[in-house]
Amino acid sequence: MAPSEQGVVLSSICKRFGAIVANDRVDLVLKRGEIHALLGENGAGKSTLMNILSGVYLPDSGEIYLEGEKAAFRSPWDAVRRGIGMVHQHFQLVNAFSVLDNVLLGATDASLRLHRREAADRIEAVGREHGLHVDPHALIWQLTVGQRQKVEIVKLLYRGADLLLLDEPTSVLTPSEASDLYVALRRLADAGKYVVFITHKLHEVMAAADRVTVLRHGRVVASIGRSDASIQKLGSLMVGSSMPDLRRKNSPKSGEIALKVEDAQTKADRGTSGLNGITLDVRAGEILGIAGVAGNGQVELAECLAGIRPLRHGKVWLKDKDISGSDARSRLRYGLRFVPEDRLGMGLVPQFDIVDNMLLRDYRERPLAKGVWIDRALAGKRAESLVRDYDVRTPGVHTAVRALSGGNQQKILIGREILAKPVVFIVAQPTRGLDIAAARAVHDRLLDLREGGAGIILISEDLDEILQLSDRVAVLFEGTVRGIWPRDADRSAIGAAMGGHLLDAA
Amino acid sequence: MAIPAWLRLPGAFVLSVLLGMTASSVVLVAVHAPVLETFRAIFDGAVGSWSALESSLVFAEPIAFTGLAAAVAFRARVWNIGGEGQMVMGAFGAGLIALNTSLPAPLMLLAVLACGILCGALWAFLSAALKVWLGVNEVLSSLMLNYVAILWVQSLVYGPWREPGGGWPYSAYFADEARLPSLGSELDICVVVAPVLALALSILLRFSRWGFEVTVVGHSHEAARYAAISVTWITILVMLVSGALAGIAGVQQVSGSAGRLYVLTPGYGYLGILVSWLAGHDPLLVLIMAVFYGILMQGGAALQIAQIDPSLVRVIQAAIILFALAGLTLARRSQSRMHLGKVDRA
Repeated sequence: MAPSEQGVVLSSICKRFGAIVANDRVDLVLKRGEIHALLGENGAGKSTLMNILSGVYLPDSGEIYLEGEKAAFRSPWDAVRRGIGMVHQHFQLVNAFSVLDNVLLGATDASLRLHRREAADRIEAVGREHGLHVDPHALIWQLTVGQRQKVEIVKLLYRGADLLLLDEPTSVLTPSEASDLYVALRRLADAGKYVVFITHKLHEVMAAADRVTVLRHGRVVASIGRSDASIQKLGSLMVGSSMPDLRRKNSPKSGEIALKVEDAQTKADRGTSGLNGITLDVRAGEILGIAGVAGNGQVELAECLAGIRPLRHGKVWLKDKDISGSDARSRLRYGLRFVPEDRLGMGLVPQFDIVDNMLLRDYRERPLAKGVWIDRALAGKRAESLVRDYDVRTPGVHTAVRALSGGNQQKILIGREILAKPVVFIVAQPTRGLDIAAARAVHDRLLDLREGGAGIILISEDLDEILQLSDRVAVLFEGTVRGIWPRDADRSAIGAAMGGHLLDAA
Repeated sequence: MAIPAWLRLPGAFVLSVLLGMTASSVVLVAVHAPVLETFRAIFDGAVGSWSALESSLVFAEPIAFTGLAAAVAFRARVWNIGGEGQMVMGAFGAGLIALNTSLPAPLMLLAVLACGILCGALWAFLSAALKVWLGVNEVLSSLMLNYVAILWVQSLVYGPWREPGGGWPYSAYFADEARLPSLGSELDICVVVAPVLALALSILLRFSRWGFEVTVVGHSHEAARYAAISVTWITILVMLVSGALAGIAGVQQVSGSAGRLYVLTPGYGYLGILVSWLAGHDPLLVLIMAVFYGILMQGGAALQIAQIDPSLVRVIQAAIILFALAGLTLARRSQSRMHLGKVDRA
């Protein structure tokens, strides 16, 4: 093989963080014109590997060869100079700046003067060449998430990137935006670029990649072409055994209405939709899934129902009781429990140990409260039984929760709220950032709760999760309900509604 | 390194103080001052005898109260920098009753104390109200209100409340019924009250519902909102308690050995902030640190009597405090890091 066809080779890369081996003798071969997927669960070492390739981390040992030539990156700049660019999961864009300014920000030309007009022309030329048209003068905050992602890619191409790394690129996109992205990646590959994306979604690999390398516990377990792959095979490679069967749901017992909300309106946080008249209900023993792209009113809806955000207009009933005027404290007492998506920012106090986090929402009610005093001994017992029942991996109940992994934090949060025997349970992004085993555990708890007769509102950006668990699916778009579908609805109709288009809402 | 956890903070403290003394002795050597004699004079002057220790505690008394005041607010991450002004208003409140009313013995002192506490609390409430309802940063408002309070008392003791016929900016002496019971020659009852209050606060913060709310607010406003804790209410409450404690420091200053209203020695309010940081906002440690600071102040006073350049005294005090603050901060940080056994995976 001629050296130029050897591609990019990572050879025997090792990287440790303290006691954790993030990458253990990882080999990876990337070919020009190929879309390569890096598949693995959270903590499998995908991001570490990409950070090594993009110069953010130095490997403890191992080599990187760029088309036969050994590369030693001492900083991300070295990698950029060699044509390696990364699109991070959270975009690195200044929202108040234009596309042009964002592209120029950090551009490597060693000139003091900014040649803005030439730069704008070049951005348009790059866009035309690769089918990634963006208006150079548009401001970032005016763009959709999909367009912002294009800006990130254009930014890299403008700097001459030859190898594009994308970290979980579809996690913020609607299904149709994701298909657009796949098309764009294909064009880039056809134009002779190296394209690598990180994912933990199996169908995404099947939809977009030519080749997939599967990582597990920091090691490469397989590197196969798409034609040799199947969802089942990739799944078992990724988790290390055949995937546990999805638990069968029994048909809903369709109880009485547990929670009803009518024409809910509230104002927006910065950069998100408020609620513009939402009408929904959930029955006892039912899971109502709320699908939608982030920022379309999910946070506002959950917080308004929980009573921690004021409703400007509209009414809420819990069973037959009108609770529109009740504060958060009484709603807690009535059994309306809520698991927010921001685990450490809101649901738990990261510096507190498990015991004090058990107190967070119930410290003022008997039996945790004894007059003006709180009963830490009882909280400690509850913490211990929660650690046991939910298999929380922790050195003890007096460990600060920020020292635990995301999955264990989520078990504590969900466990605490379930312990209060909820009548209505609102849960937002329950499995975000969790590995498959932890996610299954959380799903099982939600199904248990459903069988126990609670009404559950499941808010998630993961459409697969919604479709798997929900009895009905509502799609939230710009603060309105775009439609409600039964459990066996067509995925593409729901996907279209998430992007604001309606196909055939039932 | 196998240093037991309980030894880490005291060890760091002792080590830092020694380092501070070493650093300041470099300065002493440079200006040809006798190093050993200087430190011996500090020791003798501040803790060497019962009367020396008593003088140190006189300095520690007001700092203990302003330190507790700061600690309560800082626990909730409410940055009350106005301990000085709240203390001065406490002194004013004491004077208001003592100079203008006459009540029988037990009632008079209670009224003096109540009025001082009320004035301190009200002064803090101004900052709290500005913060929660108008969004004014409490650091700025409480700091600026310090000057208002100081000038207000100044104008009183230079003007209408000046002792008739007196040449100094002092009020007339308070009646005996308005004075705090004294213990020893210069100490008053507050030397006992401060530990009692510190213990009570410590218990409340750790074991009461209110203390839990304050701690949650201090860590995360979002978590507080989620737990249906009113950040507004807790902010106001904490400022009221903080102002009340600073007010006690003011009452102690005027109803104690001074026995009259005057322009208070500046600084105790600010020293409370420093002491609270040294103590990690732990009420019981605030007491220890207040005594430590009192020793440094009395030691400095003793040096000045021994004819050592006052600026050198300041150098020694500052070096020791800086090292202590840095050492304790580092020790606390490494302690909290020890608890984080697990490293986040990239």
